[in-house]
Amino acid sequence: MAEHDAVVLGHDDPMTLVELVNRVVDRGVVLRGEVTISVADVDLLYLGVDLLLCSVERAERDRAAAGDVAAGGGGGA
Amino acid sequence: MSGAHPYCIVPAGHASDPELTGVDGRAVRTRTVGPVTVWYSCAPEPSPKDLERIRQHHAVVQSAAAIVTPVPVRYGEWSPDEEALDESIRPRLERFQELLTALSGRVEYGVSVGGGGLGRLASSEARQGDPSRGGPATNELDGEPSTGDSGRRYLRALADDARSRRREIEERSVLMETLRARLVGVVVEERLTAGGRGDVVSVAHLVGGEERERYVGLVRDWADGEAAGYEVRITGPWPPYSFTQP
Repeated sequence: MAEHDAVVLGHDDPMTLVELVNRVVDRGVVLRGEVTISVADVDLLYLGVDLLLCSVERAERDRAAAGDVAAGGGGGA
Repeated sequence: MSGAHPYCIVPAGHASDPELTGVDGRAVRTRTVGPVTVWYSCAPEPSPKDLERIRQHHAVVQSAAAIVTPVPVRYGEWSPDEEALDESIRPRLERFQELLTALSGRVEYGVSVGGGGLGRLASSEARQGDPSRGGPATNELDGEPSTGDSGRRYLRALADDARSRRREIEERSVLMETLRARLVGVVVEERLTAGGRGDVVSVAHLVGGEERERYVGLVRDWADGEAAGYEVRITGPWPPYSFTQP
């Protein structure tokens, strides 16, 4: 694709990542019917709509860290 | 052999670059089934949460798009072996040929409009209030302590809210009509798409490859004209992911 008319936002822009995930995971041809259900699980759909896409790994780390804090007696919600 | 992860379908004979790699850095291979060729990698079943793999999948589809318009395969497709991959394609050969013809030479763009403009309009109208009905609605909406008939005020706030929602819907459809008017003769097909949080309008447009510059210019003119004050995002050109379903 030519660069001159590419208008995709910055590669790490959260909105661009949402656009990317929406397309790659939600669209395109389906070859085997239900197969995507096992992949597009709640986490991915959640990520797709809620802009938590700076990095899945980071989200996982944050979640793990939050778990550690809770487990460490931090309490909270 | 750990399974087959397909990326896209192209007209038979369009081979991938031998150096091209896909998910997990695995080589991209091709198999031809009748009149179509599928690009795939030998790879285990896709992980559901791996953004990097999603990007790698997309990068292969982009590589195909540099050669010929592909029919992208949705991330998450997987077959236990190459024969099973063939079998998943064979029943849909006619459909794939139709798609390859319909999409040939065309690309997808996305246009999303953030809610900022609509929200600003609705809230400014609410703040102006309606003197005939006893003053600004802001107090109710902001939850300030009411000094009068709180039940009536509450119902009035609900009615204001419903009115502003209706206005937003009307405004959104007017806005989209202005975009469509700008793009007559340039957009081949339009699909509504799921945008990000807060988007009030999100559409995908299928555009002829030769119209790309014109399309982007027209949407930018619209963003600066009828859609001035809204947060308009244009993304693309994408392979035609959003136009593979009936």
